[in-house]
Amino acid sequence: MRAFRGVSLALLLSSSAAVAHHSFAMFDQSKTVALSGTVKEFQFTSPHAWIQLLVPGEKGEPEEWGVEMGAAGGLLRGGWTRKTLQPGDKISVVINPLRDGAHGGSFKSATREDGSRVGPAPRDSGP
Amino acid sequence: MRVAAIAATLSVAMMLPALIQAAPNSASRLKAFATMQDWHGMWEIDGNPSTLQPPGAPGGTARQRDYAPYNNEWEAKYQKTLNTDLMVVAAGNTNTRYCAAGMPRILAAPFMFEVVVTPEQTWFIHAQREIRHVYTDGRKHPEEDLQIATLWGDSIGHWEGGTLVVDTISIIPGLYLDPSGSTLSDQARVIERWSQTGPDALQNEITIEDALAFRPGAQWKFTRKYKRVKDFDRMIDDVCGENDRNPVVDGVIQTKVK
Repeated sequence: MRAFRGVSLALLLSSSAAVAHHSFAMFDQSKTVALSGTVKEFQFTSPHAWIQLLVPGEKGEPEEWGVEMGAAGGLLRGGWTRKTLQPGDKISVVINPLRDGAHGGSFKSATREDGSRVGPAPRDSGP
Repeated sequence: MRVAAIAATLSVAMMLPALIQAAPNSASRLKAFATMQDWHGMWEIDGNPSTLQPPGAPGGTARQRDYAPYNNEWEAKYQKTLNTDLMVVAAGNTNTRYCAAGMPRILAAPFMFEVVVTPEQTWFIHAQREIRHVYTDGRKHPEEDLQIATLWGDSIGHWEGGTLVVDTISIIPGLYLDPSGSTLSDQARVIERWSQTGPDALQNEITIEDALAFRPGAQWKFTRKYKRVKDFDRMIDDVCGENDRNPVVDGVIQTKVK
């Protein structure tokens, strides 16, 4: 099942690039960045869901990052819900960062402090 | 108590006209329904919904070209797009501009859709609230002066046995067919042949003609397959207005991170 999900994720990320609300040109898909922080807000919305994550900056002050996911409908179909992430949850997120250096990126995966995966592999059938 | 009784009587009386107006279908319409294909339920693309190019060919990203049989003028125009800054190309993407795939890209899109077949019309209802009306009542396309180009064009169809043949014209020119920025002209015509190939499988044989953009007499043919959705039981419409963080500024797509 895990392998199937992996294949499914790869396929569906490809799908989202084919017809998404936008192309993925703004993200550097050759790079991944790992962020560890605290969930400020989980916006379970369309055309994209967003994880607003507070990440400690160089001086320890919290910096807000925006992590883009697929549409809420596609995520729901894949087993995510609006309650999968709650404000205050401490997670690590892997993203493809924005090319322009802004604090944002495209969601790849996320884990909790205990190492468990956050939600099933996302299924992005939405825009 | 008496007031309540009167109110109840009035409310029932107000419902009666609607009940009386609900006439049964004619025998001929019911007979027509009985011969229609039953494609109810949820469907989605079967396989990688990369681009419109034939399955198996690479594609699906901004720098991987599609394979429309362009004439020299349109090929040069497409090559220019392929060499344009990605953020500019992305800004012109149909989904970014309209929150819709439009025709014919919707035929290869990853969104779930429903098919509603009636004797007079078939609807294709996609997530993102993209709705195609295919009139099968024998009407023609509007006269040229009365045509209004839209994202999904004007579709008329007819049944050849169990195959729905759809003819679509009057599509807004310049819609992206894929992230690379391939487009069609206002002369584009899309012919589809929809058929059921198994209990949970639909097939669409697609032919695109474009007298302005393609080589003389050239057609772009490919087939798309669709499978029944079994793990989800209702349409969830995706709408861009809810949380759109991608404004286009000076022709370049932006991303708002909060």
